Amino acid sequence: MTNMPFDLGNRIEVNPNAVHDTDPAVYIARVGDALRIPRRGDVVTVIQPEDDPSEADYVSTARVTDVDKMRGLITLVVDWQGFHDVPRIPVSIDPAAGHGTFLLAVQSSVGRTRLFIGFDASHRSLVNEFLDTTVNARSHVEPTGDPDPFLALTQ
Amino acid sequence: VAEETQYTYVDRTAKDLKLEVGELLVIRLWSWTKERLQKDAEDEHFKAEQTNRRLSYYSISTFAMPLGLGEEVPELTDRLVGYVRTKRTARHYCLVTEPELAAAGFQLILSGPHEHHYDVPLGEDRLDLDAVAKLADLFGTEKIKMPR
Repeated sequence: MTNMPFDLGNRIEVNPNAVHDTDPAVYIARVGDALRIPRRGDVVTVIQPEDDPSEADYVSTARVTDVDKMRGLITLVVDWQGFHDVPRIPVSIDPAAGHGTFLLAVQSSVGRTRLFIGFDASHRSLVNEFLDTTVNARSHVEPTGDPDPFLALTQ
Repeated sequence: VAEETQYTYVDRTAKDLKLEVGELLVIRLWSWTKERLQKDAEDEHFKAEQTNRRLSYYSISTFAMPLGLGEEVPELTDRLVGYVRTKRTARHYCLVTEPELAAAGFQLILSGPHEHHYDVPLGEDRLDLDAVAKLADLFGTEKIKMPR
């Protein structure tokens, strides 16, 4: 059994000290602060990475209101009140399970993973992507308390 | 990443912060390693240039409030943290006083648009990395838990 940080998908680093000098409602990030360049209208994870590796990163969500690739800037409306620890999911990994994929058993920590509830609609697809790409099939997920671990993760 | 830094985690500061009426108590959120401060200063300068806002200096951002008449430092701390909580959140913060910054050669420049947002300049034509390191040391290794 190990604790894996949840796959947050696209994420953009933000600095809570920095304030836009004319419009406090928006935050300007550099393109280099994003894992991938988002599109206008995307809802992305924003992250305050933790210096101390024993501490979980602090995350929230933001809506992308502009992407200026020429200037290398991304304009965000950040949910500053929504920051919380990145959930860690206790998983057991069996590298020998079928076709080189992993067998993930979602343990009784589904309550913790429900911290993602209400994050944003994109997290359903992120969870789906996480399960599909890592486990390679939803059927490889073994429930250990909920009848449907995928729904337990996403509802 | 400050892999060598040993932080002390506290709920309230253990520092003996001394302020006269009107002097500022300064709060820095999230991270204040020299690597982080350097990146912040470079980022802010870059963003200003790209949006045609020519900053006359490299700087990092903080929030600060002055000690009020009859107010004690713990009361000011609660007022400052309460104010900042309405604008931004972070897991931890650190505190330093305006006299501590001034004694080390740093300025605080009110920068807005929030009424209590301040820049700490760290060089004019170029980022002064010695000043960055000195400021990181001044912010220290005490991480105070920010109330949720």
